[in-house]
Amino acid sequence: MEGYVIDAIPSHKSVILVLDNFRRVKIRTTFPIYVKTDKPEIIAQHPSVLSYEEEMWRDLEGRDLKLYRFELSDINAYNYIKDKSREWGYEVVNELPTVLAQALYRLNAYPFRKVRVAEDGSKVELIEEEEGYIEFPKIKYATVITTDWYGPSLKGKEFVAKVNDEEIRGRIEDLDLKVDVAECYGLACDKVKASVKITSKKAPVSVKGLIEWSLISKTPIRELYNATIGKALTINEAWVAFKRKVIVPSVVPRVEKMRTIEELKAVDKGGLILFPKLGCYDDVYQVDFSSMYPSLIVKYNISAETVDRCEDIVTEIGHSICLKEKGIVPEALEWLIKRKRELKRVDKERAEAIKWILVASFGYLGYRNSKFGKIEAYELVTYFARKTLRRAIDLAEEFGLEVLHGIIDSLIVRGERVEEFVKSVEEDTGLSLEVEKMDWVLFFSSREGMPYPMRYLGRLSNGEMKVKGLVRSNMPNVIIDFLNDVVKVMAKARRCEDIDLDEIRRLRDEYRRRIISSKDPKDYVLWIKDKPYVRGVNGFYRAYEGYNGRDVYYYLNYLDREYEVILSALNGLQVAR
Amino acid sequence: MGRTQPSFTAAIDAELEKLFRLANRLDYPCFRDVILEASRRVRYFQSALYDEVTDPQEILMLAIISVLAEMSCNGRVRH
Repeated sequence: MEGYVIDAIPSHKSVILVLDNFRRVKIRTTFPIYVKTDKPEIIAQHPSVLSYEEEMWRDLEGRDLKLYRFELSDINAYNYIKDKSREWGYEVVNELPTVLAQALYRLNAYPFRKVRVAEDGSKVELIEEEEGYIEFPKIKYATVITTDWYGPSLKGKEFVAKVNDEEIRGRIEDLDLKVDVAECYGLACDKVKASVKITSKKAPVSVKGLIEWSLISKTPIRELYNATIGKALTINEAWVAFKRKVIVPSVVPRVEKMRTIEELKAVDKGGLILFPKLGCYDDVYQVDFSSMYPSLIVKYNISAETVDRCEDIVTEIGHSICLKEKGIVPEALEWLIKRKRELKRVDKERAEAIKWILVASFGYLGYRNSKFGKIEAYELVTYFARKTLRRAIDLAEEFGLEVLHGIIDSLIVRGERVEEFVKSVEEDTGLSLEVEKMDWVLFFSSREGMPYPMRYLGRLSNGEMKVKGLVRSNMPNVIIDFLNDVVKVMAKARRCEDIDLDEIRRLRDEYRRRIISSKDPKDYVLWIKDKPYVRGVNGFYRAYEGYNGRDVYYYLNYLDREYEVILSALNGLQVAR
Repeated sequence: MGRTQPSFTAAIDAELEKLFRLANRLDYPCFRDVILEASRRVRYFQSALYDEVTDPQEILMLAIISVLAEMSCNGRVRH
């Protein structure tokens, strides 16, 4: 039998592989757990322990340690043995990758990979062997939500389903869907048949993104959809450690080294920020370092176990880096950076899912419960990031460019020799850059009139608009529509001086009329923390209680405020030449 | 991040607020002008000093000095 592994259900001395199109096959297996103990015979008394073996592993500090691997007939015994660890005086380790993922790994039954299974369940073969496997599994997946008058609602009578790349809409009673993986909420879930149903989710990625996470983490999707990004990252790092026979501890007793407040002041900083020069500028370029923080982690071999181990690289912030062995974090990230780059060419949605993990990789270095992180490693990343961006700024000036704005891993510059500048920065830093030409960029100020980072509108040379910090998800729908229409008006301008203020004013008047006389109550809905509200004359009320009128002045004032923000940016328009 | 620091920008703004309050209490219009012009420049000093060891008061003082230096060069504050 051949097919894609959709799910795996542990059973007694076996695992049931769920393949695409609802096919199932039982594979004989046991479940491994690793324990640090001097008395393995105590654990061996558990009826689910079939055998145990001594193995030599290393801890993160490089010391050799003896572990026992117990083979269990029943995965539930793992929880029991773990619960008794304190009472019986041992420590369960290597809990990541998960026990089920480790069992599947030994069977060659990787989630969402194509396998050939012997009919008697004795053998599983991977059909595509290579590690950098890019092709998306040929399976059916869907996201189904129900909607009410105000938008997505658990009790809505209409549904919107996205099945693979096709969108279907209709009434809930007409819904009849069979897919391999479904993300569904509310009443819709009762009408969907799926091998894996995702009914709650912590991960900020789509169902396709989750499938990508499952693929790269070699972990069943049911163990990932309620995981944080940090867990997805940690599993990938844990695989590197696991293959090197480095113990993945359950708790990391890592203590920050003693420092004075002056030393902390010098290092406890984020990336470099260059506040924007307010105004509108023609012919500018946005120059971004691609995956800057993960790339710096890889370049400088930054990982908990490489920082302050030896002095191959000594920095002025008091931390050193050892280059003798590649760090676990850099090794995990190097592969992810490469995969993101390849996916970006073929599938943006999956590339986005990898991007989330890469984004979390830096923050997780400084998280106190991180298994492969350490605050000193975190500080080294921001230190190298500041140095790198400052070096890029210096080079920009050497090439006669004007730097208009800079933030962490991105610069907005203008001038003639951008191509030479980019090449020079890439050679100097060893990192790769992405360049986008903009016809113009308009920097907004804060309400107090001060320059404010990452608040701008820019027109790309292909006519698309780049909008940062203008539209927020917690604004009323009618205001979001207004701002999007303003952006469309501005998109028509090829130069700063072509931006049509009169048309924006006309738009404002049109939206004032719409607020006063709209027949569509959805206009007045705003979402705060995933809950829909309407502003009524007696204050805010929840939209799912039904539409009960609106405070027209609240929406008019909101519109005027947003109009003023745009107007003040445009009125103070210094078309820089 | 392992620990939380207050916003550096907010700390600079708090210092600036203090100087504006002082300027309002004192009847020296030129002093207020200097503070006002320094407030317009302070973000750029902040950018330039971002990767140095510094503190909000120091950044603000340097912005004020730049205004005064320009006055001494040009004889007046240039907006």
